[in-house]
Amino acid sequence: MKVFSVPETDLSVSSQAIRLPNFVEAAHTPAARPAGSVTPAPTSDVSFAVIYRAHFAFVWRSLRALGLSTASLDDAVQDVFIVVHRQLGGFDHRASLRSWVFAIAYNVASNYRRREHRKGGLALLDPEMPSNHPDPESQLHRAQAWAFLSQFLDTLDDAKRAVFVLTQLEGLSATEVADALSIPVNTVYTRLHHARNALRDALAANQSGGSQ
Amino acid sequence: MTDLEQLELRLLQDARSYLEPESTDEARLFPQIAAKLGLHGVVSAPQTPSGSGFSSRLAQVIASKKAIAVICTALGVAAGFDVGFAAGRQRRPVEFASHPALPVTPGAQKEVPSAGLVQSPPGATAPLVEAASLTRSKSALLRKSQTAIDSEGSALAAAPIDVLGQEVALLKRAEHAIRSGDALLSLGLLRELARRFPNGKLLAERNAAFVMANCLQLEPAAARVAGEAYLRQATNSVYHERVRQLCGLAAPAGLKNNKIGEKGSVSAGD
Repeated sequence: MKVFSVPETDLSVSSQAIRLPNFVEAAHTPAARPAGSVTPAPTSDVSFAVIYRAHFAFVWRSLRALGLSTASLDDAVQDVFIVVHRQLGGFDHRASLRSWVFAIAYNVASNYRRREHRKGGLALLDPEMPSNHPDPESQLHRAQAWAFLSQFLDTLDDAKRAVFVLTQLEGLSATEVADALSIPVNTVYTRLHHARNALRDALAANQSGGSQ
Repeated sequence: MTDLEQLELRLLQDARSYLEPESTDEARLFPQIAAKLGLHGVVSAPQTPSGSGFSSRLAQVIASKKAIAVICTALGVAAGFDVGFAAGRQRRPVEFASHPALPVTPGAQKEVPSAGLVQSPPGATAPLVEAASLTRSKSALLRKSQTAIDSEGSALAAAPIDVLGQEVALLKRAEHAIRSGDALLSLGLLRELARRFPNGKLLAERNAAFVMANCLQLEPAAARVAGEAYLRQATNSVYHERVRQLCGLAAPAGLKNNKIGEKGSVSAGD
């Protein structure tokens, strides 16, 4: 099995900042392993756990921003990381790890959305309510921001949506986005320009509508 | 930076933070992924960062009540509560004069009728929310909504077996709440529905109800966007007319005489 090591630059955090999930660390603590009961994980599996830890939130946010319903989210996140694990050996470092992971998430999201569409379902509006949040007022504010933005994103085609999500929500560079979506950098800028103009139009319409 | 740019920036920041996973999601999903991949060496029981037991549960309940109170305030008069993208939105009264009440047929529903209306399962109670409740105080509405959702969940948990009947019953209650203009109750019930039946048989009906319930509480412009998105995606839905009505969309010229879906119900068999 090919051993995959994670470059620090790809994780966008320093080596000291990378910590294994608690449940991974616990499994690797000798005291936590009854003798003979747990086989130490191969290095590649530990690397996978590090990647999981470093990119879990990114994948979660990306899938939601790409229009997946919360009902499909758990399964889709699992599918993304299963593909990541299986294809890790083929990752050639030509793109950043984040771009590579997003490309997988993008394909998984497309499959799920097609499936939902075939079933007559929609990932349109989830009835999210800030039920257990410690700061419900600000959470409600954020929920309304997301409700507006998700409705705007639904008006974009998939190509513009992906560019918008990666640049505006996730802060990826145009080069990273171009790598993730396999498109020229200039196309990234063009799509972003159109998407941002559309968002400003929607915001302006919302503002003028609210003031009437 | 212009006002619009500032608004855009704030919108993106708020939306992004809303998309963050819960603190427990990462640990919750890893064992499932590891099990599928056969990574037995790196998996142990996931740990939740927050405390457990009675005190933690109590804190959750308090937070939940507080959250619903805030939502009620926001959906109601919202005095002094600037919610930005939906600032000052009043609860929209809903007229159902052209939409007669759903006929409720007693008896168990082993199968959903292909084109009929959703019917109540055995033991179903009277409609939970009446239009008159809209005029009551916010606190009364809060108590009623929360109690209705809780009691519905408890009743369904205790009921035996008829899964589809349970799904139908919950959807019907959500539909009644929409009729009564109670977006909060409806969304709560739909959320419960999604949680209990993630792969339910009534997904199309549920999604239509989501859109309608959201249109009750969204800004008119946002409601129109949501409605248009629904109409664009659910091209064959029988709920087009109802969604148009609740989301403030004009009927297309060619469909003005189309009576399909005008019963104003979320029905099975879409």
